[in-house]
Amino acid sequence: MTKQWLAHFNDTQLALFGFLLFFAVFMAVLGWTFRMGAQRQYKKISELPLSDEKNYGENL
Amino acid sequence: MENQKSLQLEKVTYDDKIVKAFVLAMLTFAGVAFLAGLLAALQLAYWPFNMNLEWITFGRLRPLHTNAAIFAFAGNAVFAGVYYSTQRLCKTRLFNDTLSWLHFWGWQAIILSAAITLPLGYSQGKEYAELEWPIDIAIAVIWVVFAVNFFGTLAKRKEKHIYVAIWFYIATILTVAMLHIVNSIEYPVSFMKSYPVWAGIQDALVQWWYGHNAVAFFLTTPFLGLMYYFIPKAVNRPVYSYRLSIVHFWALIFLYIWAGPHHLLNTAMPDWAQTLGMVFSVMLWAPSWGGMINGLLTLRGVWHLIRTEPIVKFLVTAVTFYGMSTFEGPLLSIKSVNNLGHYTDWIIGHVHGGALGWNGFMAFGMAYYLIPKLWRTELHSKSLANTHFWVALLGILLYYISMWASGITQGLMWRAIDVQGNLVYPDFVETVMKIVPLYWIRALGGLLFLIGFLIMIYNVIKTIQGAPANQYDTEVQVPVAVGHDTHPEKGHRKLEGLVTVFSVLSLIAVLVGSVIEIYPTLNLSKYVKEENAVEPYTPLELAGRDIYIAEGCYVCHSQMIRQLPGDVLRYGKASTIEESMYDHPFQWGSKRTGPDLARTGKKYPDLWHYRHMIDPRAVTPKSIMPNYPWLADKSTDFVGLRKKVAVMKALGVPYDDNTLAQADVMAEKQAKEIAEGLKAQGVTQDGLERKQVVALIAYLQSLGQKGKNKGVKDDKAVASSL
Repeated sequence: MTKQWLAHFNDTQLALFGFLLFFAVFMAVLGWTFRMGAQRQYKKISELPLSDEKNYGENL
Repeated sequence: MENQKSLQLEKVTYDDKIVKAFVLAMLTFAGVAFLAGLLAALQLAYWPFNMNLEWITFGRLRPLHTNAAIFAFAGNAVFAGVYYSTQRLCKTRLFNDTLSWLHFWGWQAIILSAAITLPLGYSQGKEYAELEWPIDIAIAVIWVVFAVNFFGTLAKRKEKHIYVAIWFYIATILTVAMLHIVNSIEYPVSFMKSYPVWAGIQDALVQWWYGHNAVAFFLTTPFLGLMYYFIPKAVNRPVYSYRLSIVHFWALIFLYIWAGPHHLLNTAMPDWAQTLGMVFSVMLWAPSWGGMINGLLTLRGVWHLIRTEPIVKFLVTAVTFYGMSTFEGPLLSIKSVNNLGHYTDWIIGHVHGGALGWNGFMAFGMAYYLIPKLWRTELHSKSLANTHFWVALLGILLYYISMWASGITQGLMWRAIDVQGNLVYPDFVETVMKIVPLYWIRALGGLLFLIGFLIMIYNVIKTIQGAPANQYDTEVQVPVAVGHDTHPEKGHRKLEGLVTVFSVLSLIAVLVGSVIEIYPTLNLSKYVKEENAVEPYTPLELAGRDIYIAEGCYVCHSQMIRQLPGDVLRYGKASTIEESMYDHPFQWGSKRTGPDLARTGKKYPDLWHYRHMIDPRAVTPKSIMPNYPWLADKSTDFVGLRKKVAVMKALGVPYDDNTLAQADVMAEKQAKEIAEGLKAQGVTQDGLERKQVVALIAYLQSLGQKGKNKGVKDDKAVASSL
């Protein structure tokens, strides 16, 4: 059954499906990333490497 | 309430010892990889550098060089960087010290196994996946140890957010596991011999799905993670755009996995898969350059550091090389450009631009950053580090430019056709002689790169010697709940906090492309025309094929005549899928330092092959091929042939029961016939019929001689019709 299905599968359409899937995922990621209000949080996360050896005990 | 929470502190001691160990291993194996590379470059420029020693002959040395560079040098660099940055970004010690050291010693043992087995000729004949099945299993086990240790660290992290570098590490760990396991499914014949379950075009697609993504997920994504961590650290600036890093990550991992078929353009692979590979490769330009721009613009406002800080010099130049390589890769994936560049030194130049410029300089920059920090001292000499940078950069440029010139020269010569429709350079060796001077320049470039590295080693030794005797791990106090606030997380912020969900989504992203690319071709009957089916190799030819693989002949000779006029005029009718349908593994190759061999069978008499193996210059005066005198001394393993044939049959090769039962007898009979023919032509050697050279001759004479394409040599009309 699977073999028969594969034997008649149109591979060009499969590739096209992959391309459209990528496009959909890409647009979703883009929309998600650039949504309103995310910038403040991103700024905080982007500074993580700069504070990763900070010794919080020294500030007490 | 929140103030009280932030006052709850916890002492965390980072495991610096394991990072130190990986840094030192990285530097040790870098030396091995560079030295092997230099010797290989010299062998191509001047064949006597092969020294008539089978263990370091080019065909065996080249896999040693690539494995050392990728898995030993780059691998140890990745582990050092991942373990250093993950602990700090998660504000916790690594999950388990025992696992860390098991990972370290296990990986070094694998490298040692590779260093022993590859020169001995134990090889699966698949590029960057040459190691035999026991080592493959060890790699899978140690990789799982690494994964458990890494994900365990994420699970006990004290920082809620997962910084972008860690996303790249997650994608690396998951995808490399998938690639390695699928590409290494093999059927053992003996302790150090196996055949892959994949054959012909299946094997080609699986191998280059693996091979290309080994570059993507072993040499690119983890190094991008290191870039996103170490460049902000080195310049004390956050990454230019965190938003761009998110888009960069998802677009890159989704697209990269599709690009493997660009290694097989113009071959017998179905057109749809070639076009798919080309289109997705071209699309890779965007996320790759997005990442490069993000890395470089992190230096906004502090560009002057490039002048003063060697670490920044190395890191920024590495990112620049990343940009150049990721521009050149898609360019070479365009079919018309690939026509010219494939199988030539252009590809070698491209690969080394990435390996030396991107991976090498990123690793050096990271090491210059880490070593003083880990050993709690100052770098011995900044000026020596600067000298290292300039010497190594000059070396890379000499390498890169000479290989561009060599590749384009050879590509143009191979396809040059005069007005009568004949090849302008019909003798392959003519095209080799033209580029030998460029091989010397390449070797000089490699030598400079090695000299730069030795300067670094001196600098590192002096730095460590100057370190205080009292060495200790970094200790910090961190709030128990750093980053955890009372507001519920939303969107990607929530997603990145959920390691499992994030990992599953990453895996889906790479699985989609993998399944679409590979799954339809597993149904091989769809592409194989029954009337074109070929007969299997005879037992002796099979034995000869194993010798061909063990000697690494595939690193210089392809077995794939492309559907291009230049190829067809030179070698004969374009190769078909059917011709390699029983090839476990496929041997289409990726480089033509010597000519294609797909239809070499019956082109020359047995005696020609015998003399060619003992001394190639006896029949082709200017050949750069090494001598293989040991093939006339070492004996063929006739006894093991029954087992080999049985395994092949189990893999679907249609051997009949008689061949299965009489494999050794049939092989000895065929060997005797060849040996008698050689003796009649003047070869005087006792026991010749039992020697490896005879089995290899049987195999070479069978190439292109199976099925209905037997003996086909096309004329100009066929070529011009393409």
